[in-house]
Amino acid sequence: MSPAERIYDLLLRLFPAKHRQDYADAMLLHARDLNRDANQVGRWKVARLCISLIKDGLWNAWMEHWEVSMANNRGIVPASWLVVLLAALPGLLILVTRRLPGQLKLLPQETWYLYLALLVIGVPIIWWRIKSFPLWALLPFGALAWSLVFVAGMGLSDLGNSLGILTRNPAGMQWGIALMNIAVIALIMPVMLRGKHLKRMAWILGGIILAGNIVIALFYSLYESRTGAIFSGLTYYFTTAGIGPLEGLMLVALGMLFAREHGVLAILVLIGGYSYMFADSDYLFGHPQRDWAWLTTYFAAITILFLVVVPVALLRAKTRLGRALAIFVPVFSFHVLRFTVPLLVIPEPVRISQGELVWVLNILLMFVLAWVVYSQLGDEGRISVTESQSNLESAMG
Amino acid sequence: MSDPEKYLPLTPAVFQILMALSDGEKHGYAIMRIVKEATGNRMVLGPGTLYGAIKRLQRDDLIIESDCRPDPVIDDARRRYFELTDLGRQVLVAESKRLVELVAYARRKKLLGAEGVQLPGDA
Repeated sequence: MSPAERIYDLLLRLFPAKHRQDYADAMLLHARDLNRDANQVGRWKVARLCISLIKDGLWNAWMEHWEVSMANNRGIVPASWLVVLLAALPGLLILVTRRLPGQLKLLPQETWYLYLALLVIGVPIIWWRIKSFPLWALLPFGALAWSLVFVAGMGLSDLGNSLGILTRNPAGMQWGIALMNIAVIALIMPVMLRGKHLKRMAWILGGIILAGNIVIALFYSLYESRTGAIFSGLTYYFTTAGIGPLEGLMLVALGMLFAREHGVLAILVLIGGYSYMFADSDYLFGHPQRDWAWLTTYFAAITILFLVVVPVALLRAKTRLGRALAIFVPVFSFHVLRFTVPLLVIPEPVRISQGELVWVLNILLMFVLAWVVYSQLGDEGRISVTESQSNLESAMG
Repeated sequence: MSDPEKYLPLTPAVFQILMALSDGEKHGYAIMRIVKEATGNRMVLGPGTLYGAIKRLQRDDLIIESDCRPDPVIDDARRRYFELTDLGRQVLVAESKRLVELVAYARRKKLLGAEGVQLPGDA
């Protein structure tokens, strides 16, 4: 077997079983024919062939799996209990391992690694078991997308610092992240709106979220008498009310982009990003999170909510409205509890941070916005033959 | 039978594959060679791209696998031959007409011919 054939033989294992069964022999033969042609030209041609075969194999294996996943997306038909059980597995795994002592902990505390571990460990196992891409796997994908933008924003802040444009204080760092969020929104929205007009309600909600936050930030700044200046007030907006509104809008834009091609799956990307942000909150019930005795319970609640309740409810929902509620109700309930529980269980005066309140309101508004967009775009489009083929071709150059 | 128009526009690769099959059944490697030659080496279909497209074309009933099998003595028995269906031919004709209309439109806009851009078929 030639090197090119050997490479392609390995790559064929990445293709879906059915595709392998139908075409593996013919594809391997094709690789052999190409290798024979390249051999007649010279070694450099064989090397180039090997590179192009790797590109061809990796990309098309992914596309074939994606197509199978889309074909298996049975819309509003509830999933089987086996799939539901598997959907809950990663969340339960994290929950259990968090209780293990010291080195026995399977996952580090940082949420980044937590989700990365989910991708590395959970997704392929479940994928192999149920023979299709698991829907819930978009949760960590969404979180990773959000995290990538966050990390890129931090990089931009560092660049601004080194150029002397941004200060090294937290406000300066937040500007980089905010600018990166704006850049993502600006990149996605024109693409999104070229083919489709959003409902007026989506524009109104987006406007309310941004304008509301700016107004709150100005009042906040003046009320606290910290600066009294408009520009400082706006800077304060990014540091106290947080970059949550922009982060949320960025995820909504990202979700809309996905919704155009992948229908209902897009909403999971949003939730994945949000779930990361929930876990990353510095305060809970107005108390610094790290000093809080119930921290484990807090993480357990997040884990159960996002990696057990939401996926199971999504998979078992029988209607499109049911799916939307499966996301919205748990999130809404969780945040209502965040503000009612301290009134009941904490004896000292309640210290609800205004920034925290604004942040939570933003998230709830963002979910409503996502719901409005979802109702417009949610059930649309699977990849058509021509679109899919275009993707293949553009990837092949 | 399905409306050929609903498959349009075809992507360049799908169009070339159907064109390669327009004059008779062929196996995958032969299709690749014809496409490569027809496009002046610009389009070389790898195994993944070619058989991904073939799978979708079979699914849409634009091509079918031929019963023809090579003599094991002269060729590899693993080779699979494909041929156009009636629907596939109609789609190919419809796409060709669409492209002709596009070229005619470009001519009317004086983007071709009159402006000095010569097509292969131009006198």
